[in-house]
Amino acid sequence: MVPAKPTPNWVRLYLPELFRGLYITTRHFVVNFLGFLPVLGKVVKKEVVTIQYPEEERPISERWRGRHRLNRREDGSTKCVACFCCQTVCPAQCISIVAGESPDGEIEKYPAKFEVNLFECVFCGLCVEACPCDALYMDTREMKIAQYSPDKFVLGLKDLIR
Amino acid sequence: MTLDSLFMLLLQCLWAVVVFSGVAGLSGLLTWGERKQASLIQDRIGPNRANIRLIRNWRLFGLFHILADPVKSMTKEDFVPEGANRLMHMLAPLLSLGLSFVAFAVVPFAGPLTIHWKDIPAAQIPLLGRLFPGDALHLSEYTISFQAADLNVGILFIFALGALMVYGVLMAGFSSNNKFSFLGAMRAANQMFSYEVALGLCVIGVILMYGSTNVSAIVERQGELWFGVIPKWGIVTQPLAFFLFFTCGLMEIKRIPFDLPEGESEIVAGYFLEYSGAKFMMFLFAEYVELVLLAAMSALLFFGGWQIPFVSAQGINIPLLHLNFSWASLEFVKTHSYGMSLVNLAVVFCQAGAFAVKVVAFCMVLITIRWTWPRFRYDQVMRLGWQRILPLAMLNIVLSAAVVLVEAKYKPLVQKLLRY
Repeated sequence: MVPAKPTPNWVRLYLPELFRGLYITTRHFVVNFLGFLPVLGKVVKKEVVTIQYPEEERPISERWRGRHRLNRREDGSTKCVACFCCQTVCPAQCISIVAGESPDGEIEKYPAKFEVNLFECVFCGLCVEACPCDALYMDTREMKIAQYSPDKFVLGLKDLIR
Repeated sequence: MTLDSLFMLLLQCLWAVVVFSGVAGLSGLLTWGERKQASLIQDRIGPNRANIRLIRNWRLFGLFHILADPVKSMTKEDFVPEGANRLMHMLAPLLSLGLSFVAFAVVPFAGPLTIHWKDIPAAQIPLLGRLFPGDALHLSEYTISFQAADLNVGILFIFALGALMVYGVLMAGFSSNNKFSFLGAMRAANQMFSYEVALGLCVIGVILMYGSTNVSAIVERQGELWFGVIPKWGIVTQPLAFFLFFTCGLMEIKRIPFDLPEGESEIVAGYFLEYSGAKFMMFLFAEYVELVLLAAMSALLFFGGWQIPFVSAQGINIPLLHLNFSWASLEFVKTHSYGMSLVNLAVVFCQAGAFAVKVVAFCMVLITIRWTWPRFRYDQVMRLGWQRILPLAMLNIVLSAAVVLVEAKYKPLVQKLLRY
């Protein structure tokens, strides 16, 4: 147990601490006020850290996970071979795939339907790690995925292949 | 009634309008300024989103919130609780707001201006001149005082209104038919009455020192100098009284750290709990008007009001340094007949500016205090008022009486010693 320290007498006097508080708040005010001024703002560094969101955006890190994307081959078709790895590993069960037979002889299947429900997605990135053929990515760097109608949150092949 | 007194009456009406719009404008600005200052204190940005759609991205640091807030409040439901006294419920915010505005009538916002122009006979004045045949407007020597009402009992008038302001709060609390409102009103009444005693005693020191209860006379006498160099402002002559007055004033306007009547954690919102929409806004606005009143009173009684140190209508004068510059020696004044009047007008404008700066500075101090200090406990408030501030205020009366006596006796001696 840590014994409580006795309050020093000068703190118990109350007045010095009141004025020290005023000094601290005034310092914050003055520093921030000067920081917002056009010329002085370059000299004084303000303590306000607010990012004015729609106008300003904070820098996104390289490994930041955003909206999904399906990678393409050189001929433009998707790299996905409908192996169901992502659907299996998905903890939120937001991916649903319907496989079709690929016309290409070398590749067995292709996704006839590939849907990601963004309402259910938790953006954990496990699907990207599970993907064996370099098809699924979350590197679109899109964070504004708001829509006006709920069915627009279910991304199909059209929205995914980039 | 003469033409001169009619002219004075018209001028006083004009000053009433000027003071009213000035106070209302400053209070309106403070509703935004307080939030903005608070946010800067707390490392935030504060309100900055309200804009007018016609002009894109024109936000003026959120100044449009001053317009947006009243529009929002006015369009809200005006709710009166069941069992409330409707008349009283409606009158309470009006009384609070009205009384706090009336107190500004005795606030002088600039020094007296003496006009040296010419007499205008009544025949030359259209319309009004016919009512006073043979009379004349004596503008060859006419002193304008910048004050809506020059009352000899100015300070007492403000205290009388301060005592009446309790009624607005009491009516709100009693008429709402709500236990929390009632508790808040009781707290407010108790607190305001307790501190009015101490507030009055603090000011007695000032009245002793400047020998008048007339606010403009008090401000005028603060232009005198001690030892020929120190302005005789209240903060110099009455430092103890200033701190006591300021504390009691904070209590009187029910702001943090003495905002017990609306202590959110204990009684929801206190006496204006049952108010909404425009009436609620009137209470809030009254609070800001009272804030400006306290700032103006502190500036008038303790920081020289409209006085600028060493500058007067005659010139710049520091006796100790034998610095004496008269406006009359300016080349401009010598060559033009109206020069002196024009210079005096400029001085008056500077004085009004100085007063405005002092008031705004005090408002900012009050806002800083609100966003720094925690609230007192109720028994602490009462103990502070009756056991600490009241005796100190009484001590201050004795001290200032002694200072006045000593000053009267030794002033010639000091003048001889310092040779001014």
